[in-house]
Amino acid sequence: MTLRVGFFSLDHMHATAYLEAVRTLPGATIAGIWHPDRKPGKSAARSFQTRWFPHGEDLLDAGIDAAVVCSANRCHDQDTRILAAAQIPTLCEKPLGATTREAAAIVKRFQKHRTLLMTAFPCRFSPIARRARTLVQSGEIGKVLSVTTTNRGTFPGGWFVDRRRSGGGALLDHTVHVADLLRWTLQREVNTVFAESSSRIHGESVEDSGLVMMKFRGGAVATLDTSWSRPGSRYPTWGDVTLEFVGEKGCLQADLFAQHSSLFSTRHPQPMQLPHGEDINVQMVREFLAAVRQGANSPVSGVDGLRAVEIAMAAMESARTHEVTKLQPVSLA
Amino acid sequence: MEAAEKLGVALVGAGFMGEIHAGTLAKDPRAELRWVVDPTAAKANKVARQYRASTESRSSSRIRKTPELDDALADEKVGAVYLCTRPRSHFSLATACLKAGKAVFLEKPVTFTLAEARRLEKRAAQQQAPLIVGHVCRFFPEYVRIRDAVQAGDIGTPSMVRASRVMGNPGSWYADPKRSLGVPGDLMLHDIDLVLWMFGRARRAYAFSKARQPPMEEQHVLASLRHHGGTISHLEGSWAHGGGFRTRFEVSGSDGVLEFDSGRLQPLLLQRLGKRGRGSSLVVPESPSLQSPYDRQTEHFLDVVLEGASPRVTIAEAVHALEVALGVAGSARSGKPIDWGRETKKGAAR
Repeated sequence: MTLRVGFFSLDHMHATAYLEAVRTLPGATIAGIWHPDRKPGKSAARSFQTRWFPHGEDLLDAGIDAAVVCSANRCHDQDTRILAAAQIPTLCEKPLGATTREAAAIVKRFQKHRTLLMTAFPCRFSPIARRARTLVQSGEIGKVLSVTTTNRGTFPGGWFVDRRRSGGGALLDHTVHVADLLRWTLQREVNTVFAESSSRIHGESVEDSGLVMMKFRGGAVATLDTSWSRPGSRYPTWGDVTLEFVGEKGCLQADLFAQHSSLFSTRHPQPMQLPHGEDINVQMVREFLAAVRQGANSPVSGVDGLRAVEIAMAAMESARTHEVTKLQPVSLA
Repeated sequence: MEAAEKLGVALVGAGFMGEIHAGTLAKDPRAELRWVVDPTAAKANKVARQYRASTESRSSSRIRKTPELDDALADEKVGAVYLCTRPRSHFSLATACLKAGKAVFLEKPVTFTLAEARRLEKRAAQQQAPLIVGHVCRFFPEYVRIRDAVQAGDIGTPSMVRASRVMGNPGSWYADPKRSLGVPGDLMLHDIDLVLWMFGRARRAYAFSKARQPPMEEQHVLASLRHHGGTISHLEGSWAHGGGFRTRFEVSGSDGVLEFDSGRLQPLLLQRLGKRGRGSSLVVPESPSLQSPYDRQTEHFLDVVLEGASPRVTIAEAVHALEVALGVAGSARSGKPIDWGRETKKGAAR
């Protein structure tokens, strides 16, 4: 059976990668694209040889087996409503919501309708992250004491810097990735967060630089540089995700995008990296579709998405108050 | 150079740093080591021997050894004292040297406590003789180049800084919290001084520390520092790593990124193989240069003492670096951020 996958909004630039993944993966086809803006919607539909729909309901009516939601953070709550109600398994872009309240509402809605909800955390599908997790969980470095991490990227611009649509800047956009990797690897929840932030790089109203200091239950600590600090076309790559563990019995470094060659050519205006690692977006979409097909549990749950948002929100609060913020996880019982 | 009178130097503390500084003094023709002060005669003799071996037969005068600093201070030909002792002794020794009218080179940290540091700052201000604290990283060419580029505006407004310094457990007295200020006041102090030098005084700090091997309290330390200008620094100092000594320094700004990672640079790498050309091998990395950062530091100290050059490291800066290091340790212990609040008048003047 070929799964018909509907795309709900292309606001987020990751939508293109997910469209490409569905197109290339066997057993799936793009059923259509709903995007509120006609021109970019039609243009994307043309390049992926599918139909553009002016309303989400129309795409739903066209018949879909699964959905991918890539709208601006603030719209996830609204855009996932019809999908939950129609019991369509959904892959939702991160952060799951622009606020804890929105993310919790999304999770509860899919729980109520007993429908698969997956948070798009592609880093979990990196073979490097998986190997690191295996090594940590098998006790290779003993009890983890500390993790120094980075997740830097280029400036996304657009709605990302409009707080009304994004909910926040780099602290929200990037914190969720590494927060999720750490929860998943350490199997512990964050207890307290301290953070600094600034907007000195791009001068927008949302922060472009963040430093998050996390304490986990059980005693491990972690720091995260979550910034839009890579200088775009002048840098050989978009950014990074790195984790450096210090444990009771050893240390472990993981650099998720280290697998590359470097290209220096008179034919290109800048040095380039030629990655040769797995395409983690394709791996993530593959796992999503497999779970839909088998009626399995979500490979990355909505609750995981919610917990990561809670950590980012605590960081944003601490960056405002300059105090240590204690996590108060939403109860889903 | 003119045949001017050489600066007589007494070196106090014939340990690891004492040996290094004796080596740098041997290379500068303007200095002459006259005294080595150390309670252990064998160590003092070793440093004197090493000094003589590396001096190019410029000096025939005898190097005297003594356990008493006063012997050296009584020598009128001694113009400067190198203090390379453990931090707890810094305040009393430096005060005695200043009182005797000697110029002082003082290994970092400036003192063991902040109260001592402030008192020493006052004493030094009352004296004519200069006092320079050995924040040697300001003489490492990589950091000088980075600072110059930042000041030239090459990366625009600096936003996020990452400074890391990791190595294995040095053991010895460094690991003893009663005698050493541990990672924050010893190892991380280098990067604390560097970021304060480049990005201004600290406004707020929050830190974590972890220890694998008691009684060390702070073996692996991570700190967040907010500078008054608005730049954020992430500092990592660790005596909990394997794989040798590694330093990293990175600045992200509005117009670009500056990166330095000693782990990615291998100017010279020696590999000694085990027996039969296999088995365990020892890898020794080096970054050879004509003048080591310690040589440059001594050259600068002599410029200050003999030629009135303005010191690259002021005592006020060394005091603030200690204040921040102790703040980092304090925050890690209390679990709370430490806030130095508004810019002091002194800070604003700089």
